[in-house]
Amino acid sequence: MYRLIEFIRRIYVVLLFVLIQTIALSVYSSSTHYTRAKLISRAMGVTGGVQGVIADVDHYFGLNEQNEMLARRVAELENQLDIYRQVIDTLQSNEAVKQSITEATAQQLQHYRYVTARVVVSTINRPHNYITLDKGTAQGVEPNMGVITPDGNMVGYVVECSESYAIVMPLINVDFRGGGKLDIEGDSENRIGSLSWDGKDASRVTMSDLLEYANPKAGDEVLGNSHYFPPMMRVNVGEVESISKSKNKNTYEVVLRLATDFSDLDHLILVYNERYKEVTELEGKMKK
Amino acid sequence: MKRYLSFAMLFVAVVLLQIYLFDNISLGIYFHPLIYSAFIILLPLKYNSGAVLLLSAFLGFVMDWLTGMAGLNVIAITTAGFVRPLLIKLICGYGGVLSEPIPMINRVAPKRLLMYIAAMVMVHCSTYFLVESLSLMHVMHALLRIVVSGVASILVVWYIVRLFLDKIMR
Repeated sequence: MYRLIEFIRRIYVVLLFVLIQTIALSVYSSSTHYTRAKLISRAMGVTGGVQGVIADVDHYFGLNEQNEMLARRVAELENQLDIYRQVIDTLQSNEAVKQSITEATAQQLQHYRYVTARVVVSTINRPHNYITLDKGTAQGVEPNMGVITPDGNMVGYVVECSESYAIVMPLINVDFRGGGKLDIEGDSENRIGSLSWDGKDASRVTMSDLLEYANPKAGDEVLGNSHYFPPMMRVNVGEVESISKSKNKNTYEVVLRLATDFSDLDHLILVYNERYKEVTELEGKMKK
Repeated sequence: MKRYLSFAMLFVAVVLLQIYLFDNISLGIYFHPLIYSAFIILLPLKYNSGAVLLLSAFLGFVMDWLTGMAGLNVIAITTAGFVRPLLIKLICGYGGVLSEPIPMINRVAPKRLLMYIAAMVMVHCSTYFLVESLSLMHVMHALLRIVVSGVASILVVWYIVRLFLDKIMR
């Protein structure tokens, strides 16, 4: 017995090390992207205040650039609005059309809700990058809201919210899965692919499972294809940079240069599709 | 008592620096300096191995709690804490400062001190980035991250160690 105690006393450091590593490794390996997002959301409750002050200083120095970009975007939207106004004016001459358009438009608009938020923390140097925003459930932010930059480029989607913060899974997270479509003429079914990131370059993602008929070319634009955003909204993902055939030779795999600069994010727009749950549940049933 | 207070302040300083400064630097996918190992590096050379391991685990736990990482910091920093006595023995050697009655890190020759810092930081960074990648498919990518972030970490930790030894432990 004495020898056993003496033996344990001699190797207790090794035993302690093995015990700590076993616990930490089992916690780390069993964590999913949802648990990671939840942990980051909780951590923001402690560090969020100071991170917010640091973000404020950073935002202050980027105000000029932000103002210029917003002015450009306002001009662009004013131009689009002018076209819609002219179309509506023409259609409103017919009373029946006027009625149906007003109701239909109102119904359509009710399905999507927009919230703006500011980036508090974002990383680009990890396989599991996340973006923390300064708005949470108290401001109407919910999981499964799509996230875009003010100039319409895709960022990702909200995975977790606390009362004051939201955690976004960006395109540059190895767990990110989303859809993209080539912005070219043709059968829309043939232009759709799956977006993913391999963790190597924060300015490029891969679009795979693109059918042969899609015939992608370098320079083609790729738009987001998901239920997070309105179908008519042009959410820019990036531009085709290189094309290769997949291992089975039946599909293409293309490398996209991202439209979003993830190292320089500031204000973001969150889009909530009130029918998101309904649509995804229905799709889930169909897959079964 | 003053020494305990100095180490407590060092603990807080490295944690805050890591979270609010070095984790917020966005200079590309390969650049992620990990500097909080400076606390374990600066502990007295003949500190009890079990205590070093427990302090490493505590430091890792605090980092995980404040950054939302699910155990990665504990894994990396306890590995560095575990190999610390071996590295001290190999680099500083019993013929050197360890043979003194109270061996202190500020008595280690600058060249050996740099070697000790580099070895500790590289163990910490290697464990962190290899476990984080969790895949041998991206091993070259992980190695590049270890080299780039490791070198940056060594430079920062060297500066912290010199600052601590010159200004606080003098």
